[in-house]
Amino acid sequence: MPPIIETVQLGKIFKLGEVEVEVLNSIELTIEEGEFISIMGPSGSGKSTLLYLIGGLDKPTSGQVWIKGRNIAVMRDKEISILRRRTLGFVFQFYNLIPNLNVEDNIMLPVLLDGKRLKTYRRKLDAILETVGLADRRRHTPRELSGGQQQRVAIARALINEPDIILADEPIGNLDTKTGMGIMELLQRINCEQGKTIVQVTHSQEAAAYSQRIINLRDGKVWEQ
Amino acid sequence: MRIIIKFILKNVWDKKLRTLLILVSVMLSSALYFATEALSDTAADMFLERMRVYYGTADLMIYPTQNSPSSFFSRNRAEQFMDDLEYIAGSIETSASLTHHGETLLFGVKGFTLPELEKWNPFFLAGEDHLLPFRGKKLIISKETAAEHGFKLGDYLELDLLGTKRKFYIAALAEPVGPFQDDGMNINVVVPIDTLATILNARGRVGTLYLKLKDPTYKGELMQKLSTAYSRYQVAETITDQQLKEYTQSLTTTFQMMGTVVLFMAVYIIYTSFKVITRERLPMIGTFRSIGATRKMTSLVLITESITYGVIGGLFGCGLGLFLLYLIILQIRPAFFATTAVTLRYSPEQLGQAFLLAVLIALVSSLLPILKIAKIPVKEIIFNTMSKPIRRKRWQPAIGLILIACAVFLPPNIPFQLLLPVGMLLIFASIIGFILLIPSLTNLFLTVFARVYHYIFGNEGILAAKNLRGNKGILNNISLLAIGISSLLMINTLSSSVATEVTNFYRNCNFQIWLWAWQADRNLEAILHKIKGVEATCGIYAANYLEITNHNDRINLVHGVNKYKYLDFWELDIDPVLMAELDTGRKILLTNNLRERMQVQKGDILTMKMARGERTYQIIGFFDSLMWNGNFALIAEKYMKMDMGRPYYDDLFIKTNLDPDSVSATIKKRLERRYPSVSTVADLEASNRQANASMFNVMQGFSLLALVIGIFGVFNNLIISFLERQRSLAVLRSIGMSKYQAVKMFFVEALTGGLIGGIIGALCGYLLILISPMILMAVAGKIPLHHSLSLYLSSILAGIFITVTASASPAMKSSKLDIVTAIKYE
Repeated sequence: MPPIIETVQLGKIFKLGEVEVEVLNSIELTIEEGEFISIMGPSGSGKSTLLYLIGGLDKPTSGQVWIKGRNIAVMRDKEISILRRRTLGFVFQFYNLIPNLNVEDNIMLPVLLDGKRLKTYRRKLDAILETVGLADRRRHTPRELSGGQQQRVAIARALINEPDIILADEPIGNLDTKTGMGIMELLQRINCEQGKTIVQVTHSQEAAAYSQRIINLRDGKVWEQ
Repeated sequence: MRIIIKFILKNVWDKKLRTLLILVSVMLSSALYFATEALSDTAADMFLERMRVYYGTADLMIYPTQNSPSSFFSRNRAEQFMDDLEYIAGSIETSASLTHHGETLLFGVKGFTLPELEKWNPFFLAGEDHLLPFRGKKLIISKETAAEHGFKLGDYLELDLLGTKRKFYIAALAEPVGPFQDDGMNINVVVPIDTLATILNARGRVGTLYLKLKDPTYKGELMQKLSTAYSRYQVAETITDQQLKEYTQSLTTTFQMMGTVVLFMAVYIIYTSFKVITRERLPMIGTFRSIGATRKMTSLVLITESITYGVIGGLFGCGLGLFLLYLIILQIRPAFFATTAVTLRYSPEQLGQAFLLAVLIALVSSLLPILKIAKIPVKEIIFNTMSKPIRRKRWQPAIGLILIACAVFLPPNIPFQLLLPVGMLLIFASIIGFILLIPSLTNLFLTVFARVYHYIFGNEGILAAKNLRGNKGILNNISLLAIGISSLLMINTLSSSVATEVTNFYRNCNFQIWLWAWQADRNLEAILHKIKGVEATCGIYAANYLEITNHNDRINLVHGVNKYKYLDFWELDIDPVLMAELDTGRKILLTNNLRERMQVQKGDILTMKMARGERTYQIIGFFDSLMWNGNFALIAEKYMKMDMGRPYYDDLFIKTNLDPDSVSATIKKRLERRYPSVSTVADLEASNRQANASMFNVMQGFSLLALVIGIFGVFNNLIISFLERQRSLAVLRSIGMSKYQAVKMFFVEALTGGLIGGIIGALCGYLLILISPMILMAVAGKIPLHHSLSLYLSSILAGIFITVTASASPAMKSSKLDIVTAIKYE
């Protein structure tokens, strides 16, 4: 069995005007299925960039990203879109919910995008809403929810298509400690109970404590703990 | 302050498209306002200029009628009033013909002395040869007419004048102005008055006297004195204010209507643009206020920005307005004016008003959003906590429904005098009503579309329908489309209905030739009957501008009709019994237009000021006719002859059983010496249609302009909407939306916006078309409007085409979106 995520000689250079900034330099990383990984490092160390490269949201300057044995760096838009719908689930620091859609609609977006019939996902939606504790808020719009509730919606949205991997960028970065810990416990439960591979980027030692392994990034290189 | 201004200038520069949109909106509004205002003066000028060929600069004229003892009279009695007059110009006018290269040319011959001609109607000579002394058989002709027919200075023209051929020497060529303008009918020439007087045996007398007053306010009093002095002649104003008003009002009302629609759209666009501007600048405003700038200061800077748009838009708008006015005049002026240079008449005040309007539009439209953000506490701006749940404005649809209900139910109850102002108000009430209803109607349509879209566009269709709910950019687009499409629909329906009615009007003619000839009577009819191809004739006695003293109104045309013949020649929807009743006394049939205008009923009495004094006529019924814009009535011919003293027919309708063109040519030839005016009904229809087409082309241009602003607005809204939704789009892309799906979703959204905008535009247009007969009634008479299903369908398709085309750019941008950049930064 190949690792669920593998990066090979992964590099990313940003151009800021005439200046080239090397954000990632030959990253070699292997993540096995079911792992809960935290990527940590100081600001500008390239941790979010690494997460976005793994998620196919950005293209590497060099190297490869392998997800379940497939190199996503060479995938076409349609293939990578399908991968993001079915294999990956994203959770962002600022929740990134669609403001004019209610909780249910936001959660069902990946289903809609995958061309599936919403009716067939009703039961699943109910179960996920139970899991994230928002069964009574399903008709609310994001602006009627607290930050923690919004992040739970984002997690539910990431889970609806039963992806193998959850990628979380500072999932509690915008929440108070208590709410943040609630979210971390939810992620940990998902990891343990559903066997999802979770990769999170975080500044917080408390959040990192929920993971099984921490990868430290510094100056674009991996310093694994 | 300087740093805030610098920041705003940078913002203005960065948002070039939006700046352009605001400027174009302001510019077009002020340009249309100016063009409409100045059109009235320019059109009046054009009308007066056209009339100058007949009346010069005179205020009053004295001329013989058919009741006068002679066709000529002495000027002595008028000269008694010389102290009150700037000039008296006496003339003798007649007609002549010339056979030239096998063609018969008709001449309008005016006899004047040169000094009086110069006073009456200033002219400019382009060349002369022994002009002075202006005596004998000399003539002056327009240089353009001369060139057209190959006449040269020094040539002799052998004119057939009252049956005798006389050679006149071309002693001068004149510029084609004043008395030498081409009037589209005759070639106007001037000869010495003494020469004509000798030929016509009228030495020392004149045929017409033209008088110009020193003080025009004295006109009424002098008219009375002159009427006493020339009791058996007609003393009349050359051009009445009423005639001028009627001519200019029918032109300007429609333009005012379109101008106001454009103004309305401009206000809407600037208002929505400023809402976005203030929203965008909010963080900057918060920052400046947190470091010491006052609310007044930040508001003042934004107000200055809006005024700057007004000033720039106003300056360009005035220039564009002049150009538009030129284009309008070029389009609507009569064909025979084509060679004359267009002279625009406008005042600096009108330019000033247009400029001021531009500044006001920009200021007023932007004031509300500016004041709104000034009220937000700085703390809320900095912590971004000012967004509150959207309160649904429940009063909006209710007010919208009330306005629409007013527009539907009020029209039948409006008195004639108020038709124009109330009609205009109802047009705007309908547009505002629909705009207020747009959010509710859009939600209704979306609920229906969402169910259908799943089957047509798949899940992206459902997603698009969900995205559209409450999307302000799309709602703005729908509003802009609704305004643009409804006004275009209304103008097109009016134009096609008028064209249809013109056809119907002439279709009611059961004759093929319309004839006017000097001293037409039964003898002339007998001559006509001998012409091959003439099947039957019907002589009509007509009187124009009859005052109705007990209603303080007037009827522009009254026909004195023969009850046996008239309806056989002209199919009017009149009961023959009523027609027969006309002969039983002084009875009158009025058009329904006059009924509404004068608020009269069957049985009412009209006191008409006729040639032989005031006469009372009883109204016995009503009918529909577009003749003279519906300002038309019928009485029996015997009473017309009696009360107006008419010995001759004014018009003759002729039925033919051969080709009307060839019969018309034969009649012209046969009646050559009576200088007939002969037109086939087909020619009259074509020229009438052409005149209407010119007018409606300009109006369609106006409404297209409104739509162009609308398209600009739609384009701007879609870009703004894209910018606002960049983050949401990035989120959708991050959870698996492909580029293809993003583009498809954008197109479905645009298509839906266009479809809803088109449908609402068509509904609003339908209502406007229901109201517009009120306005038509006030300015042009009762014109039934004909709805065209294909026009409605094409309007809806136009809405879809506009939004789908305009969405191409944001759709492309969405496919090239940098997900990480859009998603990462708050």
